[in-house]
Amino acid sequence: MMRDSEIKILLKGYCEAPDNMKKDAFIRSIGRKQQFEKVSFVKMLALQARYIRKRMWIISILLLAWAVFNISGLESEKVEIISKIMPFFACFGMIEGCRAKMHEMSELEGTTLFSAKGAYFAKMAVIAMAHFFTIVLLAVFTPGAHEKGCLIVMARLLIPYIVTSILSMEAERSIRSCGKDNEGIHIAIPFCVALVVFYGREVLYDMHVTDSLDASKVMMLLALVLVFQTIEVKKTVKLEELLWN
Amino acid sequence: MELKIDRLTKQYDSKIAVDRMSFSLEKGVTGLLGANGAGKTTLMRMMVGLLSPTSGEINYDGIPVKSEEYRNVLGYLPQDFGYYPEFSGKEFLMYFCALKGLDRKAAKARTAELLKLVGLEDVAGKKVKKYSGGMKQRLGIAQALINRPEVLVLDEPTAGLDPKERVRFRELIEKIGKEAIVLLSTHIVSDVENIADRIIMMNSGQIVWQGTWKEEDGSLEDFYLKTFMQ
Repeated sequence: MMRDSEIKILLKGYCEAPDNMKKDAFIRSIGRKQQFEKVSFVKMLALQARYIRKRMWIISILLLAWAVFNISGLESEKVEIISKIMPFFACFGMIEGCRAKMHEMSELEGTTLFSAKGAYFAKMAVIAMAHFFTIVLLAVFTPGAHEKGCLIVMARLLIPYIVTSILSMEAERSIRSCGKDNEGIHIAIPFCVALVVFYGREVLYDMHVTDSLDASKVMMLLALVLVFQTIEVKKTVKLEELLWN
Repeated sequence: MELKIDRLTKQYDSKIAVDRMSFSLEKGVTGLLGANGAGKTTLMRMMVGLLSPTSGEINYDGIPVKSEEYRNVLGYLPQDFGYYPEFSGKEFLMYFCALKGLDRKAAKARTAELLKLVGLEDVAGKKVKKYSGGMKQRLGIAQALINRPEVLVLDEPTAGLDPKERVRFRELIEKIGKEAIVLLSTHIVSDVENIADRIIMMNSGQIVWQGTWKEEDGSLEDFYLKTFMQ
């Protein structure tokens, strides 16, 4: 039976002990791993939802209530009226999503567990989900929606919303890359884009373009804008300030 | 405990903000001195993972700086920072406690502890927008300490602090430096003269001098001015 000291001498020949610095770092890394809990995606969303301003939720509820109870006029026009305000609905979402950048908080957020990218996309995901849910309810409960089909109504509401967010993200990226960034930009850009989409939609409506689209064309248009939205999100992720962090 | 910077470079078009810097930091306080435009902030932003280097590497005990594991042990105070206007001092810290992974109970306890540490417990409920410059800076220092960091990076942390607050801050940093790596950038020599275990002087993106400074070496300020006048 070998003694401990003999076993130690034998083991030394087979492997080398790590140097003190590495040993110390190794022990600390174990301690760190035990304390360190990865933040789950759901927890990230829940946290960001808690810090989104109440006015965002109030606007969604008021819009829904107004659409369901208060729009007077032809049933067939109600959907058109609601889709006209979708650009401004998207505008509020974009402004809320950019608050960290607007108030110079993104550097501090970028050095937390979330990272700047995580915090930004978690916030945008919560807002997008809340708005999508509102649009689904609008599509179901707006008087006149059932005649057209809820899916088509939802598509007609989503298209101006998504077009506004695509153009806002594109414009914000261009401004950021020029190095011209200040608080007002993050309000002005989404608002100007919303106005452009609103008036663009009015022109198309007056030219009988929007109301002449049949169901299949509306769905194809929705699919197309969703593709562009995905491309925009990928481009935003690749921004240097977000890519690295 | 070692933060290693290896041939770090950051280039913007034709301008080189940080030029092949290599050094390593261990437990203790390191003062980073340099004039405006020397590259201190760019270096620090790369060290905290906010900016990608053009070339070179930074890692902490083998962990890359853009990992979540590194951010878990990191505390950072930027030169300028903002706040959501509706936040009070307490809400500001609670928000960052949540972002740093603390649960609500731990966040409340830690917030109370930090507010007391930086002397803001009496104004915890007041909106941050009503704080003075010095109070905001103290709040920023508090958020950098939330997760008891092993690496603390402070960019011009004494800006806006009155002399009494500066002394208090120096004592705090000295205490933290016993357990963590602290990198403190400033162009005010007296901020680091008495507390830094090591000094790095930077100019035009490069290290022009680094080492330890003792009282018998004379005035650090004179040496600093002489180095930059050359």
